[in-house]
Amino acid sequence: MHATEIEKEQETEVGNPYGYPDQARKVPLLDSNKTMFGPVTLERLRASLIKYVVIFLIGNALTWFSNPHLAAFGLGMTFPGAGFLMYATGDWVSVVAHVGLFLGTIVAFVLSLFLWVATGNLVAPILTWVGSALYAASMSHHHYWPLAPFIVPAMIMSVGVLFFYRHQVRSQHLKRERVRINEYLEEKTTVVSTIDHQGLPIVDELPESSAPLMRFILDRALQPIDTFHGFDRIDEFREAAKRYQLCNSSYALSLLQYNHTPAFRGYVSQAQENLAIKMQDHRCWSYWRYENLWGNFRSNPDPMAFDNIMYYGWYGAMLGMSASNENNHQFSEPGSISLKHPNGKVFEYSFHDVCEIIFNNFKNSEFCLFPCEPRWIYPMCNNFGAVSLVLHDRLYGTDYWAQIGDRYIQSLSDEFITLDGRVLAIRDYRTGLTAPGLTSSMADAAAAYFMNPVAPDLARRSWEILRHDFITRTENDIHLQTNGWDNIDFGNYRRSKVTTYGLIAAAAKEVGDTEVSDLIMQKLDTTHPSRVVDGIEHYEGASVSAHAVIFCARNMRPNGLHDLINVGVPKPWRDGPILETAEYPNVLVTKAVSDGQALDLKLVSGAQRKQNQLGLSQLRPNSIYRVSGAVESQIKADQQGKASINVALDTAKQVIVTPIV
Amino acid sequence: MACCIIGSILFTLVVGIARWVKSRVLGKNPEQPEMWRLSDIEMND
Repeated sequence: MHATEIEKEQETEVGNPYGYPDQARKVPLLDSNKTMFGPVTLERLRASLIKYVVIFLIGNALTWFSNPHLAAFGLGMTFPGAGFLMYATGDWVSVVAHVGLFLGTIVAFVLSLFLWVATGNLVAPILTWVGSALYAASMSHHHYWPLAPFIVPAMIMSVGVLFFYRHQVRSQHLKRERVRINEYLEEKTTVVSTIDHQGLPIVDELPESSAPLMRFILDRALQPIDTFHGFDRIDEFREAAKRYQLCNSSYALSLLQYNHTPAFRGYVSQAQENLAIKMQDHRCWSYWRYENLWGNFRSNPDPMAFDNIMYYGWYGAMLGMSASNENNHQFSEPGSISLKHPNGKVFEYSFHDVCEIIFNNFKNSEFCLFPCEPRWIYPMCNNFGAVSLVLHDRLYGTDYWAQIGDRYIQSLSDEFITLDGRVLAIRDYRTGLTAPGLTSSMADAAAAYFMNPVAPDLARRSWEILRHDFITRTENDIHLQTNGWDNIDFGNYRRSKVTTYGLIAAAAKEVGDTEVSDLIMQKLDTTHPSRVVDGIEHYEGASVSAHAVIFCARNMRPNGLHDLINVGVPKPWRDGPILETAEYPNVLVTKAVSDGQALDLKLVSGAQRKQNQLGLSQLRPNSIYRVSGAVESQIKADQQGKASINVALDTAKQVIVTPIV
Repeated sequence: MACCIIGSILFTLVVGIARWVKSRVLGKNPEQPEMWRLSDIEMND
């Protein structure tokens, strides 16, 4: 049974009054009928192979002409730099020079592939390949290596045979792995949300020890809108780009709001608004003009006009989560997303437009998922597009996800998940090629974590595979099997495991494996100890995204992200009293929740100021409330349902505001 | 495919080399954005 079928069948089992999942679902086994490639990938790979074979045959045919220029060009088209081998004969200088040109072209080609993968620059590999063939054709030598037209194709065919053999061996290996993995997946189920007698999630306070890390995020978000102090400034193409730092910070704050402070607005709302507006800064999307030009051959700098889900997929999820938590629809207003290009053009959108674009692109892509960088499809970025649609449907009554969700999950399973259940990092839209070596424990954890809101069964399966095959629990320690990428902080490319630990801990918490999450966090603190300076926690050398991910891991609860996206703020939380204002950083709010009547706050002092005023709203107009933990013991709400209280904060304090009936 | 992996690893290497040149050759201290605080703005003001 496919994951989507299981989800459909089990949807009716949700019995919680607010929609929280209270029934565990069976994790789908790896499909024993699945082949190495999904139907679209297979078609793309076949087409690519046919195209190459045609080029190969024409190239070789050209070598049989007496014209040496044509022969060198033909050979050069069969493999990058191979045209130079036509002249690798004569004295040793000539041999070394032309073999050197051949090897140099291969190095240049690898560099161009790096540009292609990293920045979507399709021109670079084409230019290197065709350019080297043309250069070889332009040479006017009178000596030729007569064996070149035989040896080069023979070598290419040998490599092809080797690839095919390796593919067959790998396919058999993965099929055996599938059987082994399915054995331990048999009894696995998804996590259910922990709910109280009213059917609501239990809201705990954020541990006081995590308040300094909360300040790390808030400090950056609350600076003036047009500045980016304290953010990593490396490049705007890859994972260190500002857009990811902003979105990761916003997601961390959204989880804080949902899991610990659903009844607090104040500076966290301000921080969210600032982050959303910063995303509109030209510095966050200027990269697209270049990528669109050298990858799609289009000059339009508008980052929403074509592909590029790595910008608006992440942005949509950011806006949707924030709108859901705060019932604030600021960025759903027409033109509220205003992208001002330095040339004077302004591209105006709203959250509605973003979701409509994502939906249409899903609908029109043969893979359903669509590219980030020109042509490169990343399931991770598409996942945020899916999250945006789920949020939009719930908030605004559309049926985007209802229309596209099944196809999306089917395509994800068929085209982007390997036979042994690992989610691919990347696939090329046109050729169908991928880079399987990019799979890693960190990527699996990210898949388990961020997929939980849209495909909880697949997310849980990803986690179980990671947990079973790559994480070993000893008596007092935990060992993680890592590869190259796991040792890099993706937010600044430094050698560090902070993001790997943070993401795995967050994923473990999200899918309910709290024990593993705690152990990983202990390991993080042991191997990468942080420092608290003036009330703010810093992991030295770690990126902003790493700090955000670690903060997520600390403020998560099982299904925390899933519930934020799929259920949202339940009525009692939404309608009850709210802590509207508190001064930052004097008052650090670590818990704020209402049951519809009373307001329960936990506050931590963030500065030396002793007495602080708090603004309350959504009280019953003109009603009297009893207050514990504040200077006042009783307050009366005004006609707008507002009131203020004063709190002396020398240590952490609980404040409860209860209506007097 | 192998080239893609090599290409991605190269990206990390390029950043590493740039960082090394900046600190060792140009003598600039490595940036520590993670140590920045909001109060730094107020102090500069």
